[in-house]
Amino acid sequence: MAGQALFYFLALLTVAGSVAVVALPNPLYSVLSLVAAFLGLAGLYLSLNAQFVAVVQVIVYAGAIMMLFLFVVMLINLGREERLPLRLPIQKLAGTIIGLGIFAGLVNLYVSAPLLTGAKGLFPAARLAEVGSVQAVGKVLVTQYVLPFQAMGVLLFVGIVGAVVLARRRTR
Amino acid sequence: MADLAVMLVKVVAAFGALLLIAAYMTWAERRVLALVQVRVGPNRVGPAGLLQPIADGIKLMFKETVIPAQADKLVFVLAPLVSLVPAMAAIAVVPFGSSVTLFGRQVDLVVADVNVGVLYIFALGGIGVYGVVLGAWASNSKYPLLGGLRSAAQLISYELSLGMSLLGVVLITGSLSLKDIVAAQAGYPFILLQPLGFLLFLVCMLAETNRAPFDLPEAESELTGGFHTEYSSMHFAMYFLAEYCSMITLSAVAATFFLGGWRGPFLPPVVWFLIKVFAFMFFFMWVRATTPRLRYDQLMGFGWKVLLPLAILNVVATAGVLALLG
Repeated sequence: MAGQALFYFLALLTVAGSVAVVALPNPLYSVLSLVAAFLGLAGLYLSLNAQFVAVVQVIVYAGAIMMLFLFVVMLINLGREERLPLRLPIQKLAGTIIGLGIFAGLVNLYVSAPLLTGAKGLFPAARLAEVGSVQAVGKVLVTQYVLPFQAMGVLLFVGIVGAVVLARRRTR
Repeated sequence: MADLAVMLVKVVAAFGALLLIAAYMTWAERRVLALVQVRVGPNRVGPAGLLQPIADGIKLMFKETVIPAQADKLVFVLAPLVSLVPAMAAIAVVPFGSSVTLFGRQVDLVVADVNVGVLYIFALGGIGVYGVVLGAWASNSKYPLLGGLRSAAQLISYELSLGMSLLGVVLITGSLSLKDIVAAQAGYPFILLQPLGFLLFLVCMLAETNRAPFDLPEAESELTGGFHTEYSSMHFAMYFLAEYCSMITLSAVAATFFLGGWRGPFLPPVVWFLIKVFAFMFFFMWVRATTPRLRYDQLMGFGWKVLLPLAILNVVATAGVLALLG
């Protein structure tokens, strides 16, 4: 009962935060709403017994990445957002159709597939409590998913090199 | 029901003690600084000035809250809380004694034994930075904004080395829970195995709490008061408390990771824990009294080009030795 109330609170925080990101006129408030949404998401991970993912969600997304967003908003000192006129007339229609399509896909998934309970797989709840969530994530990450993991490293490295190149071009 | 009551007592006791120690650290700091600088320090309110923190608290509570006309009022009022709450909550995972038996119940002397304890402390530290940045932005004034930007850049830079410096101990223990880390130091404290990690942590600890010689965010000669220039009364006090609470938390983390936490001969565990924490707090004050402030570019260069490579070297060396030993 308490768990369910907590779920609805966290879900409400996440959804309301996400809606507020697009709805609020002040960009700084949008950033803060996104932080709130990420914290709600971290809470949901916690309730799923994934402590490590929850804490990393807070450290990486809510802590580091959103701080960069905040920096950008503060440094370029955005005022209230200006509404640009839409370029193409069908943009609105196309956006609506794509959005509804994705939503329908999600609903379809929810209705057709059996809900994932976490009872199956390598690390069910009992085993997870035994080995700890850090060990569980680490084990899968460097055995089963080692290739995507390494590819991600290359991707981040390319990103860093790109940032350095762009910054150097600016100063020359 | 009884579990809930035990939990409640632990929460109230831990946070009450934290706030009390934080308040008295302001007194201790002024006395220690005075001692180093051959002055007397506050000695008028009560015996040896011991009632000074209470007088300061009452004074701050009755002061008028001034909010600048151009400030973003909501964010301005919320920002000190965003700074204070994570700083206080971080102490929850630090064990301050072994388990005791009270009224026939086994009670662990830690508010919450989380299996990702270390990461929990870092996550809260990351949230705490928002308090500084938002307060600086919401003041809508140039000195706070500059102070806030500096502060955020500094905290993000030193957070990396801070985390890396603890990783050696985590590798040796094989757990992120602070309780397990204390348990692993039954024979000898980890300072003997991780001397470099300990030194790196000491330096990063000063930078993470914005203390001298890394107190650039509030460098008064160039930025007046830094990010809290526009703050007054209790809102200012909350920033101040947040700084002292995170000093205490990081002292407790240092004691837990490198000095064996509450372990020690003869005296009860809680006393040993407090002795170690106070030793680190004295270190904070001692450094403040004796070192000049770094320049901003020196600070950044030191963090990225000296501390971080050393921290990475420490992790790689520790992992290598552990792999060799099997």
